[in-house]
Amino acid sequence: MNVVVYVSDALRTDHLGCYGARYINTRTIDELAADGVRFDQAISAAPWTAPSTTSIVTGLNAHHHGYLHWDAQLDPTTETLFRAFSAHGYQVGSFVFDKNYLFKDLPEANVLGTSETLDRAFAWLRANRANPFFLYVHNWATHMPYDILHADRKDWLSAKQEIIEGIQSDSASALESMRESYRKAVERQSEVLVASFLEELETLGLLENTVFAFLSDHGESWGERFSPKEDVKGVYHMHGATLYDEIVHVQLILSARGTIEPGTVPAQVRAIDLMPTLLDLAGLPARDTDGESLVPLMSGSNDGDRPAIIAGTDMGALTKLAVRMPPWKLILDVESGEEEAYRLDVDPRELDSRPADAPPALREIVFRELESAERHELTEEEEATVAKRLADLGYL
Amino acid sequence: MLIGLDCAEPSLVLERWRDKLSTLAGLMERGAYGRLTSVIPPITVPAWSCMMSSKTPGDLGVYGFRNRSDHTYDGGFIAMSTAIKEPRLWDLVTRAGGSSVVLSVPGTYPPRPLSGVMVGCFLTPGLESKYTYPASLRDEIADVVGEYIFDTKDFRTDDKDYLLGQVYEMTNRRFALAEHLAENKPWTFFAMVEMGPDRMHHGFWKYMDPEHRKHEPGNPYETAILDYHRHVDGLIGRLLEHADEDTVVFVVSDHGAKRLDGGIRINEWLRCEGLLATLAEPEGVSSLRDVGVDWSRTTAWGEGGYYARVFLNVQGREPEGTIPPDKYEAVRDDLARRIADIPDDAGNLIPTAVYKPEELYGEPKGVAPDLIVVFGDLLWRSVGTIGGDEGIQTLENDTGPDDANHAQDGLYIVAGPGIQATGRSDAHLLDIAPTVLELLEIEEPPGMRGRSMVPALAER
Repeated sequence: MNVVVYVSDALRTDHLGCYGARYINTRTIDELAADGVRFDQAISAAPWTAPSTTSIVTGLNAHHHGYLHWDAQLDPTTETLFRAFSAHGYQVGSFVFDKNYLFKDLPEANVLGTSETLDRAFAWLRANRANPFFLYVHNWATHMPYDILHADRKDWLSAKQEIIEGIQSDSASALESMRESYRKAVERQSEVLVASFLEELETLGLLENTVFAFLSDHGESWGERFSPKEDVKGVYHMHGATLYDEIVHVQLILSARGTIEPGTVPAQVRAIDLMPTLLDLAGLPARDTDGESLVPLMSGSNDGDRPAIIAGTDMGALTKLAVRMPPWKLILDVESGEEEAYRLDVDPRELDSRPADAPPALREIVFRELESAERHELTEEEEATVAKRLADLGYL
Repeated sequence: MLIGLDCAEPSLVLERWRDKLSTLAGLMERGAYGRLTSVIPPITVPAWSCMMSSKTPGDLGVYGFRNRSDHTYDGGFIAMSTAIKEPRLWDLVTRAGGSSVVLSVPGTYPPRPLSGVMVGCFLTPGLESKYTYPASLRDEIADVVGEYIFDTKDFRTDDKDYLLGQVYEMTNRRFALAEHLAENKPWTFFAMVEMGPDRMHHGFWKYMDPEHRKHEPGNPYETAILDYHRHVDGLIGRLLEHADEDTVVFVVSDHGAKRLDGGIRINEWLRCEGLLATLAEPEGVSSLRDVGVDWSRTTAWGEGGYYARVFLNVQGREPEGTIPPDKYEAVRDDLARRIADIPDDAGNLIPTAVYKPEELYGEPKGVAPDLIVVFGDLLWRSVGTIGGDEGIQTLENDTGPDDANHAQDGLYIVAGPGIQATGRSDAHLLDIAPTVLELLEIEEPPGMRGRSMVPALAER
């Protein structure tokens, strides 16, 4: 069996027909969902690419793997999807938006090139069709500023700036034109990129024995949470800065014709569940992950919602920690200790914060998780200070 | 609201000075009070964490400030907040949906997240450390009290006026912060610990106690400890103004204090007995670490501090163990007997207690000492150094003046709604957490070692 993980960066779940969108043509993805298992409430571990994607490939919550910045260091002993599959004889390859970012410190990902066009990924598929393979594609088509190569830094940056200025201008027409570009990008993702990918798999006779996992690393927004709009200063404020559902509710579709029975899973699951699920489907031994296999849910068992932990970051620091446990979401600001809590079934847009009403169980989870995130070792200098004080006091 | 006074001594606070401490006397009048028997060892770490969790040192795997992390000779850690794996009262309050103010309760650095606020304890390395939860509280503290003082600096000074000034400044700033937090933060549980009484006892006991061998009648510091207690009594009175009438107030200490007659140099004794071999002859008073231990010829070694932790060098357990495992119990029993017979400086027997950890704690966690030794009913302390001319017994603390040792019993005073004026009844330090939980109507988690005092205190 082969595995393809296809991540569409910043793709909002509510922009897909199979998740209820209207007036956006995502027929290919909708069919993929109809042929496979659609998870209706999948939650990302973080609101932006570096921590969120690292959670997808490690099965660990972001506050546990600690890769909260492009220059952060992932503990080299951390188990990854790549390592797990390659240890069992799989050919492993990755195509990403820019090799200077995603997986730059993860040699086992075997980044082979860009995903902005899929030609090289197709060539790799053809070369490895006879081997069991694990292919990771992180596609950027749905991430602003759309249709410009990330490597063309100058054009990319000026296009990006244009979008940010559009949001700051707070003009309805600028906003609508941005959203329209986004909708077009979503359609292109579905009807050009994913469609051609699936065609290629079919041509190579791989559709039957390949698990195709489709998901996004986070959603997107256009300054709705900010007032004044000048506070939207960069792409960080379009998704990385908040933990609301338009950002953290991601789509997750698993499809393998003939292997996976079509269905839908209404219970809440997490992006960190993908790694254990893929290992389970491939019959490989489980690894030590925060996530758990979704295979039991896919065959109809319902063990209820799984609590999702979401990490908010800023400049590499953990700044927020949220727990989403339907019907509640509790967001803790780690710096100030302030809490927000939303009752998602009656307040799905998360506008009416009621921290006093949140069930204590959520608070317990969030504090326990926060504690597990903190690295507490004293520096040598601190330890020496403490030891000296204790010795002075006669304790040592 | 729980106000901790580290080392507050029941015979002074509850008896001798009762009519001089009006705030505390008022609480005693309205509520209940008594001795609060501490855990063994009765020292700040781990005693406060034991009180806050109702767990023994063996349950926590924390036997003192420095603990062995494994059976190697140098794998050790200083017990900081992360060493405490059992939930403490504020963790349970968080779980129950309440919030807490936790101010410098020993065992809280680095501070750990909770619903509420936490300020690191006396082991916080310094103001530049991340010593609060949430982090933003640190700036607020600077606004309220300026430089917060975790503990006295230069405790081993001979300049007693300087030390006195330090302790008062520390205490004043802590209570100023306590008042600010009590007034401005939401709390269902408020806990603070003031280290000042401990520092005062260690620094000034000999001036007060005529039975201390260095006491000089008519010295200028005869009333220093009493004066300090009166000062703290006044500060507590002010703090209580920030507690509403639904608040039950506890004043507690983790252990008491008594005069110190001298120190037993446990490693020097082991060396003289031929049980501990060093790599070189010590030049003057030295630490084991400096001189180096010849492990292949060593049976046992110890740690100083206020009580002795003695470790045996066992084959297959320690890297260069010398005691065959089947001889372990015999060697341990023999050593326990001989340690119990170490006399004082005049050659008289002293009432030394030698414990095996499993007798004290059941199944101790972590790496427990093989023997736990309390010398001379705590009138003697344990000293870890070797060499020098002093012999086994030292009358000078090798790190500077020290006048007092810890006594096994601390104290408690409790008053407030639901607590009748029941007067004196003694209790155990492990009873505090279940009592607080019952008063807060929070379900007690299984496995707490103490019992709630509420049933006894609620009836006449």
